[in-house]
Amino acid sequence: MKNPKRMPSKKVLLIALLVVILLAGAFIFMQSRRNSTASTSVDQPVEKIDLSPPTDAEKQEADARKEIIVKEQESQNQSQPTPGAKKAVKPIMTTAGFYDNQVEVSAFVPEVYEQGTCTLTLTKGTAKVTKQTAGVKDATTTRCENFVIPRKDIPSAGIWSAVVAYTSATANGSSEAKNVEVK
Amino acid sequence: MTSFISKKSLLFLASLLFFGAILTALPSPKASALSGGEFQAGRIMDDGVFFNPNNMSVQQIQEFLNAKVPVCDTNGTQMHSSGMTRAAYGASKGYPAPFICLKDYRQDTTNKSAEAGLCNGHTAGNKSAAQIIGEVANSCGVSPKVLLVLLQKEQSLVTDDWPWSVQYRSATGYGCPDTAPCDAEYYGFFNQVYAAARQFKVYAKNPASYNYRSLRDNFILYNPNTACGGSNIYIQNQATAGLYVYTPYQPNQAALNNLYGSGDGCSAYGNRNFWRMFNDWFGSTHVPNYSWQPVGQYAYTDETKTTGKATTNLLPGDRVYVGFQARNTGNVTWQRDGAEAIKVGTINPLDRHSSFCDPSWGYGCNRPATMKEASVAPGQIGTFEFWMKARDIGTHPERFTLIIDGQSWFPDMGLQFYSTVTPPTYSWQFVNQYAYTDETKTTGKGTNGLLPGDRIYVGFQARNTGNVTWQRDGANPIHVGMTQPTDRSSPAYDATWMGTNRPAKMKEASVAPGQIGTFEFWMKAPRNTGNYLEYYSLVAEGATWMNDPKMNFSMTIDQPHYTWQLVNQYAYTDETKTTGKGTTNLNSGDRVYVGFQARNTGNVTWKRDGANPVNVGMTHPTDRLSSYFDGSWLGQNRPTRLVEASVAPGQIGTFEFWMKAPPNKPGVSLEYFSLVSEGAAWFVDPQLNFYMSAK
Repeated sequence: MKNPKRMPSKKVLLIALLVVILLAGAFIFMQSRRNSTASTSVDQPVEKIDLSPPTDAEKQEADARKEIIVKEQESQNQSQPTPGAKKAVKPIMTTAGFYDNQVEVSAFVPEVYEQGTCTLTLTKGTAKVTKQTAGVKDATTTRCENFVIPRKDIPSAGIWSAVVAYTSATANGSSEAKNVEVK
Repeated sequence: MTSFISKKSLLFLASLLFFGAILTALPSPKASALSGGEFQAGRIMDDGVFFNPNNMSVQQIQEFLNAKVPVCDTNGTQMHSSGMTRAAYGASKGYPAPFICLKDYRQDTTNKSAEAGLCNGHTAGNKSAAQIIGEVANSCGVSPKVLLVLLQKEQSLVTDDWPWSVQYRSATGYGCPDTAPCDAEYYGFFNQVYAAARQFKVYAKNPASYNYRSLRDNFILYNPNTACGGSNIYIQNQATAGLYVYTPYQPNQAALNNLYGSGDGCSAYGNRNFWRMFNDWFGSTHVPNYSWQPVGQYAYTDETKTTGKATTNLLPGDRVYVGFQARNTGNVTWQRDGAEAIKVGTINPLDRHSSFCDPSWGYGCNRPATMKEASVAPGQIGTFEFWMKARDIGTHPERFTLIIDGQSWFPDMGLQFYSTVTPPTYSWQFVNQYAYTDETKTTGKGTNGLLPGDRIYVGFQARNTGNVTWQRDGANPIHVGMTQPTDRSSPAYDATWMGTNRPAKMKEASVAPGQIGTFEFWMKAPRNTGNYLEYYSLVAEGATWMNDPKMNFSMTIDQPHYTWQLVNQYAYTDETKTTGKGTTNLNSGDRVYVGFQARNTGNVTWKRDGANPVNVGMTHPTDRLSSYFDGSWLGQNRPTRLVEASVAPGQIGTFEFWMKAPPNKPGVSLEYFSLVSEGAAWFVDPQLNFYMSAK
């Protein structure tokens, strides 16, 4: 007759294994909790520098760049300006607003890379205020020197329509109008 | 059977818990690949990243370039998609081999002058591409990583294994509009890199002069073709504004949807690619609100910052004035004052009480200093300086970072003032010694053959071989002390000493380690005759006795000998000594002026005045009262004193005096005289006499 209180050795082993696994799991978990809450040290910044070899896409970029170079050369060789005709351009107003008691407008001319003249015209009904600045070559674009018109030079408050015109020996054109609220 | 299933279930549950715990403990998987949705048109890059020139050394740049082109196809031997070799294809387009990759590229650069607020200039030389990138970045205060990405974005130069010369000619695209050929004025690799870096600083220096402005809405096109339109973007910082001035287009949705490829006919890729490449190679283009990078550190003797001083081999109590500069690589302007004041904080461990705490640390021993400048904007440099006072002996890493109390600790950038504090050592080495008659030190004098009471002015010089600067005054003054045994009272004590065991203090105000100090004092010959060996060493009062090199002055004190020898004697009518006169047959009351000369045959210098003056005294018997006494005498037993002020041994002294014939005392008398050192001794009597007779 078997003793009902006596556990078989297999069962004892299983329970012991169970206890060991549970204890190990609890220990690892607590360690991870402790590390994750250790906020009493300052961060160590990570300065990343990728020293892996170039990706296939990066390698292809080099060949693609050369195709662009070839195409740009071909296009430059083919494009001949029409004698006497001015290129039509459309200046882009990048900022136009009323700041610190003055109207500030900035613009650039995407289609050309040269020196020219920019003219800002503010219109409200029959009233007009104009200001002229130089068009200059920047790093990659022709930009207008910023327009600044003090409030005292603007006849009245309200919504004014701003347009920037560009003219040079080879090009001219005007921007789309933008509204500026003068206070 | 039921029991077995239950066991299996338990085991399964435990295993689940075990692996669950492991999974929880493991770091989260790497963030997913970059997506176009992360692109912020108003914040392409933070100023703290863009204007940080110190995040890559020249060596790191070179290593990066090497990694991106493992093998350069210098001779163009690989096949091109045209079916030709690269060499043949390049030649057909006007760009023949050899193809020099960026990692191998070198050129002669030109001098550039410094311009305030822009770049610090450039020194010409034959330089590699890595040197050019690193030096220009440093000169202009722009990140070398930005310049590398710009080179890749514009010409694919970083990864190109067969670059054409035209790619170097317009390397950063400076002066290259989208709609026209490049401007020849800016041709050349060095010119391109320098011009681009400088231009970004121009934008930052004069932000109101350019057509994209930070902290306001800007209309930004999608494409050079204005028909493609654009949108209003609120630009959040100067770096992003500068990128748009340089390349005035934003990527449209199609370009962002296919981040590593093409969009549509209205896409532009410049700023998208710049952002994407930077992320891929160097990580985020954004910085925390509060981040910093050390620029330089220093240590000086004091706040004038004229004389450098190491923070090693300090002594307890030593102070050193240290400082460092930090670039603001975050997004927030640092303030010196107010609730968000930026301070230096101690770390390792965090907020520790520093053992170098100085009374000048106004915010506690965990906050050495605040910023010197009132405010420092992102990209600018702040200065932090403070005193460190050595206390605890040992090695101290002394790590610091920045903190805004109550808000944020800054990252630990490894800033430390490695400091060592060593115990003080007091030691000296004998240099020379000397003895003179007096403090003028013009006449040397031996220390042997002294007589009791003689004074001699002695001195010695000592080299400071310890690590403490000797001070004449203050807490631990350096004195001469008696040794053998230590601190004894000296028999050669002189009233000028500080004590019977302390002959003198140092003459110099301070003597640094390695320098020489001087010690001088009077020695007074003791009363007792004999040989004396007086040992001296140095003592730092209140601290320690120094080593004893057995420095000494040997003295011999002789017994005084009072002897003399008659040289001549004479008698005259008066003090003019012109007319001789006999000393016999004198009438009562007659006066005769007598004298004699005596050689000092003893070892004591005769003095006319002072403690032991040498006088003429009556003898036979000694000290008798003379009947030839004259009113001019010192006393009836002391006819006169020495004529000379002093007479050294071997020299001749003179004694002259009146003798007066006594009244009512006729007869013959032999008047004997000798010399007496008053208060000391009668001289040996050579029987000098004057034969006198009175009527």
